[in-house]
Amino acid sequence: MKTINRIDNIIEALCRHEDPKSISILEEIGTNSEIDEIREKTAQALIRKNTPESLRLVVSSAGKGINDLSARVAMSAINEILGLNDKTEVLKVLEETMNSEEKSEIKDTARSVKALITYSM
Amino acid sequence: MDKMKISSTKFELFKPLSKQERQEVHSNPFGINFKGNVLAADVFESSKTKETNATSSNPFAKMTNKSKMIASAMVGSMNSFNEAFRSRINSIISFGRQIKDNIANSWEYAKNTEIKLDFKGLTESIASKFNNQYSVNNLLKQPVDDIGAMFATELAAYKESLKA
Repeated sequence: MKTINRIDNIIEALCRHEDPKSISILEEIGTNSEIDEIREKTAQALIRKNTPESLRLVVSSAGKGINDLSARVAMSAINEILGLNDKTEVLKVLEETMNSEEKSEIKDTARSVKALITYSM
Repeated sequence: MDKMKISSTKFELFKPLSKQERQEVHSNPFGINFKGNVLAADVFESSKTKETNATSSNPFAKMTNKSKMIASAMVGSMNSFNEAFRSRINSIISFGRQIKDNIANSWEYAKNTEIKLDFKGLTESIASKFNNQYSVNNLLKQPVDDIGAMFATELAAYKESLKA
């Protein structure tokens, strides 16, 4: 089995794992990785988890998820959010970010993503 | 009452060849080639025998040379057909015999063969093929910390592979 396939499976297992610690592991190792591909896969896994903690990481954290410096990572995270079946949790997190976040860039991104979700619904 | 008349039938099957045509067809100076069969009949009869034949009571004796040729050709083709038919029949018989022998042998072999299904070995071989430590289902059974350690190890290996 190739290394990248093993990593895919590990990320998927952490995504499905019910232990809340899985989110911190994904954050520590995955979202802080210097490889775009790994950050992209980790952000997607965190979004698929669809919990307030995992969504906050990809919506409100600077340089992670939808705020990633890599356009590829940010766009794929937004795409994953738009593909969620249940968007209630992500809409809540986006609302929180728009109201409480100090950084205007993060606020703007959250507003744009919320607008996209509204138009796509 | 009108009389029913049967119009005379013309048999044009045996059209006589012209002299020129005959010369073209006859490549064999000793026998006449008729549709692939060499005629065995002696068509060059003396006029004396012809006369005696005309007076005899045998109905076949009245046959003309031409009809003799046709009869000979027919006999020839019948012989060749018989040979072909016999050879085909023989080949069919031998084929059937061979199949029969094969079936008999297979049945004997099957009777003397013990059939075993090794389910344990089969399960083990399948399990060894699919029992992958890195499959999602197997990973889910492990504690999160172990998965985290594996993640770090695999990521380091992936970084190294990208550098190489």
